[in-house]
Amino acid sequence: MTNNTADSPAVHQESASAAAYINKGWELKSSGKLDEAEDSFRKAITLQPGSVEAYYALGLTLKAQNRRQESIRSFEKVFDLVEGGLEDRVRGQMLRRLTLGHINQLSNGDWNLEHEIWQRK
Amino acid sequence: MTAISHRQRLETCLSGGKLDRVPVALWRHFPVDDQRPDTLAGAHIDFQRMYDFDLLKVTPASSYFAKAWGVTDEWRGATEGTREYTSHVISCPEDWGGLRVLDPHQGSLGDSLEALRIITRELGPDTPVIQTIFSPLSQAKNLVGRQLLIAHLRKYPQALHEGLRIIADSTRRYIEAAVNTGIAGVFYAVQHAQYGLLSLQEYGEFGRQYDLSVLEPASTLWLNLLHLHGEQVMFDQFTEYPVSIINWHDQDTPPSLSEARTFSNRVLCGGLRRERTMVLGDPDQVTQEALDAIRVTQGDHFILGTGCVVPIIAPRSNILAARHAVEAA
Repeated sequence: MTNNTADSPAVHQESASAAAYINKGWELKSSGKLDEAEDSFRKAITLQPGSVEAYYALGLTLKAQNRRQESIRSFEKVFDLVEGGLEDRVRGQMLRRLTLGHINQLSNGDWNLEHEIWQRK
Repeated sequence: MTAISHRQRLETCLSGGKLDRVPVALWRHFPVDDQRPDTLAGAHIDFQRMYDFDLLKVTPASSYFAKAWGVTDEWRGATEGTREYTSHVISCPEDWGGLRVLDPHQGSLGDSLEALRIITRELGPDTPVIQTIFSPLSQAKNLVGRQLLIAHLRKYPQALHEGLRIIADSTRRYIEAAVNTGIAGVFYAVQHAQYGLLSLQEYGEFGRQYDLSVLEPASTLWLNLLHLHGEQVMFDQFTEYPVSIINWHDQDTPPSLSEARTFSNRVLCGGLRRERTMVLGDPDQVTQEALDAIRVTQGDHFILGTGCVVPIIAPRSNILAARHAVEAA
């Protein structure tokens, strides 16, 4: 872990690199290269451990690979990060709802859109 | 038997293969939610997860192009979920030439691309997503107003052509960008091919050439749908458009589904009345109307749907009845 402050050039560089890995991951995922997409999203997380986007994308990728428990863990991480407060509140609400939907669906096969009944373990 | 995906079902429908069931899709506006990319995307994703339709038609506010040129609109509670235009940007013929070609990645267009990216990533490749594109003539109406458009078309044709060229160019650029979001096709909405609005000659001059220009960049997509909006539509003028599916208000205006089959070998989409059945009817009536449409078309080259957006006041049980009817057929 470095001692960079939030707005230091090094952090900006890491953030840009993380974004590049996320973009690359989406490209790979859309072309069906799920293993490579996973690798790209994990590299983004290494560079930016608080990246909601990277964890969310990783959750979707693991889900597409049918790696249920790992996917749930990734979505749970998204949930934690979103609950920690995103600057954009509306975006946070959308991510929270989508994340709960995925966890519900992976856990019991029901998106549970109407009730959002979900118990965190 | 292994369940097939929505995409496989539609591919089979388009190619005339044997289907496990008739495809079905309804669509609606999402007022208020349609003002931000993430809320627009979230509303569509919820809708798809709730009803599991065979394709998701994305319905942004009709102003999503016009806003980029400075038009303003407002949500006033219309049951279709549409917004009212509160100001236009074209007031005299000279204004058409002053429009600028839009950058698809900026402003309301950029927002709509972001919504498409969220939706396609979320739903994955097995659920086809199509984006609504309004014809240049429809967009011109949003810029100048309904009445003045017809006046300009007849009194200042060259000025209007200048504007239509800029609108068409902007729309082509937008579709080129939208193709990269993972959409399967466009829902191309034509609103002026109505005998009560324009003559055949007028539509040929002000509509057709721009339609075909705009649809060109969509030719790489496999699920393009043409929507002919309104009454007394010029159906036979569109049978050769480069689309796979034709949708119109088949329960309210000619041709009927069976008549249309004689005009076109495209996949037809319709069968359900929006107001009388989807809003005012009950699930039994929805089911009966759906089964009638499937019987008339023999479920061949057919997608069950409504002639236009389902009003936002349509009961959930009626929408579910439409979805379940194809399982029962």
